[in-house]
Order: sequence, then C-alpha cells, then structure tokens
Amino acid sequence: MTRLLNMTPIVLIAMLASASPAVAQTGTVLGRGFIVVNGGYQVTGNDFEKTSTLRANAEDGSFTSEYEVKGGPTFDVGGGVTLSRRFAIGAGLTRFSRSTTSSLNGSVPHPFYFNHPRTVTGDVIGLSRAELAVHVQAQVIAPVGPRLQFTVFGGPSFFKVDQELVTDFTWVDSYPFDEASFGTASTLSADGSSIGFNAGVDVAYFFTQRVGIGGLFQFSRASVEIEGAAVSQDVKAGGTRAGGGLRLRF
Amino acid sequence: MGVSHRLRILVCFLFLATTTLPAQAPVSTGGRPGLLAVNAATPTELREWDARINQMVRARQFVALSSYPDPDIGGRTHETLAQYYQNIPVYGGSLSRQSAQGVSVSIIGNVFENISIDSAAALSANQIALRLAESTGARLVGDAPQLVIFPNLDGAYRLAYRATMSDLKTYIVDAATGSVLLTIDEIQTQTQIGTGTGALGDAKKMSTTQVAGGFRAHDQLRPAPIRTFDTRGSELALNRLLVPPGAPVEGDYSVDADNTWADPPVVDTHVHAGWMQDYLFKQVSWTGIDNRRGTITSAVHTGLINNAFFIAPPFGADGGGMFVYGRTTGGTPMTTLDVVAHEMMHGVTNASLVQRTGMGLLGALFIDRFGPTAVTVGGSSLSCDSASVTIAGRQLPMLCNAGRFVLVSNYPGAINEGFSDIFGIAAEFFHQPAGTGSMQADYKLGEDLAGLGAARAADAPASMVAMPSSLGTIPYPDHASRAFSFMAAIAVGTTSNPIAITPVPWVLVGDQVAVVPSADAGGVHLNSTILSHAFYLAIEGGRNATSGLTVQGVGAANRAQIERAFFRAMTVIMPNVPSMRIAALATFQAAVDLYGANSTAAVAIRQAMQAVGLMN
Repeated sequence: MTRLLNMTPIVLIAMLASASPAVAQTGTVLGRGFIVVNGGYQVTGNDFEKTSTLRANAEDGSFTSEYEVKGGPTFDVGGGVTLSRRFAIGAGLTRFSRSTTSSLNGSVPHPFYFNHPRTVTGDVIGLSRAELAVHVQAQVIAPVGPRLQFTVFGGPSFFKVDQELVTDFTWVDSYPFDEASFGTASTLSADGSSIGFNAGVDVAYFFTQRVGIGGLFQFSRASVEIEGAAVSQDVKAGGTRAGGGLRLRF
Repeated sequence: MGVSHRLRILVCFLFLATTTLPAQAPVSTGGRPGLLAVNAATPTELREWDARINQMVRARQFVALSSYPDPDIGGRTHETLAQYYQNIPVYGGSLSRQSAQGVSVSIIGNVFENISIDSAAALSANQIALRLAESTGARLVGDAPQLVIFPNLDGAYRLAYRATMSDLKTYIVDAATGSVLLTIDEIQTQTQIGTGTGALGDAKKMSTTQVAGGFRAHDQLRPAPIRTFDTRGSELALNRLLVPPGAPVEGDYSVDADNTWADPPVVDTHVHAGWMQDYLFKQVSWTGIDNRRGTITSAVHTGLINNAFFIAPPFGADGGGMFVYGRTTGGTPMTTLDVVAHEMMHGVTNASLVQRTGMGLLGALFIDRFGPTAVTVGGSSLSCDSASVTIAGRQLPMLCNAGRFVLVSNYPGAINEGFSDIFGIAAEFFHQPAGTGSMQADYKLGEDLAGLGAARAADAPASMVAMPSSLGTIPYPDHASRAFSFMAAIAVGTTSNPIAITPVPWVLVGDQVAVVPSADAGGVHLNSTILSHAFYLAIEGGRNATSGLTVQGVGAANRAQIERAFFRAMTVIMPNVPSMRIAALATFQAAVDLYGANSTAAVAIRQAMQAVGLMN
C-alpha cells in the first residue's frame, strides 16, 4: 500500500500536466491529453506451487498445492499527456480477477508406522485471485496519417496481488490407515505488492479529432511476495494482455 | 417466561469448566449476569417467548440456522436459532424451539441480555491469526478468524475472534488487545500418537490415550483395543490380573508423562501387539485376537524370567485372557516382534477353537509307539515291568504295554507351539525386511533377544540344540521320525489299570535312554519345529535333511498364500485334539480350499508335509 501511495503523485503530475497549454500541435495526432479505456484478455497463466509442511501422527509430512492461475478478462483505464509530437507520458490501471483451482498433493504420516506416508490428493476450487496493476509509461507516438496512430510504450508497473492460499487440509482415513482421502481445505487470503515493468504497442484510429478506437498489446510482469497469517509465497503477476477500447484526446 | 435455576447453574458450571479466565470481577455462583437460561414449557411461557423470539428475529438479534423434522415424532419440527449482535454471533447464545403443527412445544437455550459494545474490531482477522501463529507455533486451520461477541463471566461482553489452529485448539481472542480469552481443546477422542524407543534402540509410534496428567498405553485406534499394563514387578498385581475376575485398576496401565515413551518393555509390547493385529487384519483378515474386537491385554515388568505366556479366558484382565511378558536373565525384555506375535497367535488359536468347538486346542498325550522291553539308563538295564521313576518325590511305575515301554508325545501342544512360531515368523516378514541382522525377518524365533538368542529355527531345526541330555545334546527335529518321544509313568492308577499318565524326561535314543532336563509337557516346544520346518519348506523350498525329499516352495513373494493356508487350517479346520498328521492334512486341505488341489500353494504344502514325514 505504501508503494501505491508513492506512485500516486506521478499519476497526478501526469494528469495535471495534461491541463497545461500544448507545447506544439500539428495535424490531428497531437493533443494535450488522452484517455484510454480497454477491455482485454490476459493470455498468460501464472501457475505456481507451494509446498508446506505439516505435523501429524508424531511425524512430519508435507503437501504441495499447485495453483492453476489461468488467463482471463481484464479491464483497464489510462491516460496521459503528450510532451511533444512524438513523445508522451501516461499512466494506466489494469484489473484482473478470476477464480483459481489448487491441486493438492499431500503426504500424510501413518499413525502406526514411521516412513509409511499416505498420499492424499484433492482439488480446491474457487480460490480467488486478483491483480491490480498501475503502469507508468513513456510513449513514443508514430502517427500514420491524420486518423491512424501507433504508439509504443514501456515503463515501470506497480502490482498488487491478492490470492487465496491453501494453508492446511483435513483427510479422512480409517483402520488400517494405509490410505487416506482428501477432506476439506483451509484457506487464507494473502496479498502483496511489488514493482515490475510493462511494455507494449497501441494502435488507435480516430473518427474525429478527439474520439477513436484502438487496440492494445501489452506485456507486463512482476514477482510479488504475497503474505498472509504466517504464510508467504512468491508469485508472478501480469503477463501478455491484448485488448481494445475507446481512445479520447483533448 | 421460565428461567430454570438448575439449567442456569449447569450453564455456569460449563463456562467455569472450559474457560481460561482473564482478570475479571468475582462471579457469584448463582449465575452469570446477563445470561438468561430459557426453558419455556407452559403455554404462557411459550407464548411469551414466541413473541419475544419473533421480535428478536425481526430485529436480527436471532437468526434461524436450521429447521428439520423430528426423526422420532411425526409432525414435530425443531428449529435452531443463534443469537447475533449487530450481525456478529453471540458466543453461546442459542435457542432450540420444538413445535408441533406450528405451535411451540418447548423452547430451550441461552439468551445473553444487555449487550452494548462497539462492534468495530481494532485488530484484523489476519493480525489475530498472525499473533496466534506466533504465540502457539501452530497454523490457522479452517475458516479465517471470525468475530464473535464473547460473554465474560463478570457480565461484560467483549468483541473477540474465534480461530482454530493446527494445535487442535480453538482460541477466543480479544479483538481489541489480542489476549486469549478462552482456549478450547478440539480433541474429541483422546487417542494420541506418541513415540517410543524399543529395547533395540529403535523408534516406534505408540498409539496411546491421553488422560489427566499424561498418557496411557491404551490403543483405541485399532479395531481391537490394546492395553499394556505394568505390574511393576508386583506378584500381587500380576495375580490380581491373572486370577478371575482379573479386575484391573487405574494404576495398572503403563503411563508416560509426555507421550515420548522410554520404557522398552512397554514400548515393544504395546507396539508389537499393534503390529501383530495389523498383520492379522491385513494378511489373514482376522480382527484382533478373537476376531470379535475383544480387548488385547498385555502385562510387562512381571518379574517373569526367560518366559512369556498367554493365559486364556476366563483368566487374565477382565476375564479376557492376557499376554504376560518377562525378561531374560540378562535383563532383555522378551518382547521382540516374533515373541509377541507368537504369544498372540496362541490367543488366536485358543479363541478360534473355543468359538468353533467350545474348547481350545487341548493338550493330550498321544502314544507314539511301543519301545523295547528293556533299556539302559546310566549303564543299568531296566525292564519296563519293573522300572519306576521318581517324580516330585513320588515313585511312579512306568507305563508298559505287553512289557514294552510306551512312548508318548503331546502333539496338540506341539501343534499349538508350531503354529505360534509360524505366525511369529510371518509377522516378522510382514513388518521387517528379510535378513539376518537385528530387526530383520528370518525363520528363527527370538533371535533379537540379546544375550539369549534364537530359541528355534524353522529353516534348519537340527542346527539348534533342543536339549542337553545324559547322552549329549539333542537337536530339534526336522522330521516326524526324529520327534521327541517320552517314556511315560503312571501318575494315577496301577500298572494293570493306569488312569492318568505323565511323560517323564527320558527319551529313547537307540536302545539307550537319554535323560533330559524336562519332559516339556510332552515335547510341546521340542516337536514344534516339525511343522514350522514344513512351513519354511513350503515357502522357500529345499531339501529336508532327514528324508532327503525336495520341496518346490512358492517363493518368498508368495508367502502370503502359505500363511493363509496355515491360518485357515488352524482357525477353520483344526479339531481340538489333533495329531501332527491331522494338522498336516488340515493345512493341505486349507490350501486346496483356498487355491485348488493343483495350485502351487497346495502342492508346496503337500510336498513340505511329505518331506517332514507328516503325509504320505
């Protein structure tokens, strides 16, 4: 959260700058400020796994949770200000959220014998995953005629990740206890934030001086350590994202 | 409105019994301020409480959790309501309303009154979980910590979190300070798994029972409970347990303060009894000793030297039989896996025979054959008709038939011991890797008893000395022709009318008598190796040294087939008073039953029994 607050002034500066008089305007591609609204799809999965220890029946055991974090729909908004005919700075916010599944594979100690673990497997579904990214971008603008505009951008990104983690699980067994089956899982929300990067291209077509549509292809990435109560895990955030939406300039 | 004074006292008692109290004001014994124990039964009380409950439900002070039909009384419905304060559940506030055709029949429960606190928590659920994790070393399990309104005994209420941790405890933690207000032990059954160190320094898991102040060697996880008593060298205690009614007392249990057991006889006996039960269950589908989940009781520190025994019901603790273990003269507990399994198989043998026939495997002397009319004992020639022997100070005439010595053996006893050796060995192979070292499975019995060593060897019986004698040592028999046959004396009756006979410690070697230290109750241990050697040959194959016959064994990988055949023979087919040949036939028949007449197992058993001279 502290990092988010630190980033806010940059965004504000960018927005304030957009209200100042334009340094130069030529043709139809140059404006003082712009706003981008996109719907998109994050293609990249961010699967990860976590191995935890457990203590049962006077012996150590373990379990590994393999989290399948598939891609999914995203929504983002952004804006910026042109610094010259070719350059701009901008900031954007991307939101990604989806339900994930964890495949649990546990090794549960036997109650009567050392070194006779039982294998327990099960799926924990409906684990929430949410990513919020704030991208700061330096942009290079390449206008192609009065209506079409290519933009290449890149810069640092701030990621905040919320992920529900499996912290423990129960199993069902009965005499002679040589087998056990998955019972229920205990979960806990963990979160964390980190700085990464983003880069991409944007193609916009303007119907008028101020309104257009565009498409976006962006790659962003960060490694984030998420933490909950006595639980932590390194995860990847971001990925390849494609989208499109409204382009406004003023 | 009815307030049950008795119920109020009970509720108060429960709170006192389960609460780790923070500093608080003294509490009167009459009840907790603010707690209303509801027991509405009369029409007036029910009307009042119905109206009040409905009002509280509309105000969301009570929430209906469930409603279900009475399983026993048609038309009755039970409704459970939980008390809430500003959408936070009130700990212990609940009502149960029973109704018939929409009319309340009874309302019982607790309502906490006069709740007025700030429902905003200063600490978050994550902070609570983190603090608990740090203070207990345990992890959060189940749901994230949930807010509750916790009624304190002084009448005040605290906003608290309820969190269950991996140390099997649920904590009620003050949401403002993080102080633990209440700790609840979630252990429903007191069964615990501890660890112990056996006589050979090996670590084992102990299935025990938690009691006040410690743990008992009482395994309640297995189908047949196992309890291990410690008689602490007291002959009085042992006799109290052995002699009917065999009433045990609390102090008989082996105990340990922290469930880390360091008393080898207790550890080995308790654990090996469990392992044998596991073997029986998994390998031969037999539950416990009696196949009826009867409690298995053992006693250690008994003062017994160089011995262990099983005593059948009605003797033993609670009249259920008992396994009694001693030590070697060198102090080694006689509680190795094969020894414990050997004794437990005696229990199985007895139980199965009693259940099938009303009696156990009965010891009985069989006449083997008739010997010569005269023998040489210590250089002197004795004719049977005039010979006598002194036993226990009594001069007893020898048993003769037409002037010839009568030679006898206790075959049922030898079969009993042989089968116990067999399943002592089988349990070893089930639980231990094959080998000749310590805690490795082999065909010897008692080989891990330090200072004493193996008592018998099923793989090579003749390699071990059975007994010293006046003519030198005599090996264990590997063939029926080498079985120990004892001369017999007339214990009761006369030479013309013998009523009771007893084996005497004289065995015939050629035409000479070898005097041995003991008649071994007719050779019950001495002759047991004939059967156990057949068991070995049926599995491993090989050549019998006496008969020269070769057996094609099933192989170690198929040992379970042979074990199942022997087990079926004993528990399904064996009569009360079998001869060795009957035992051999029963085992072969069991293999035929299980696997077919031409099966590898049946053929192996037939060949093995032929090799040891028990089948033609």
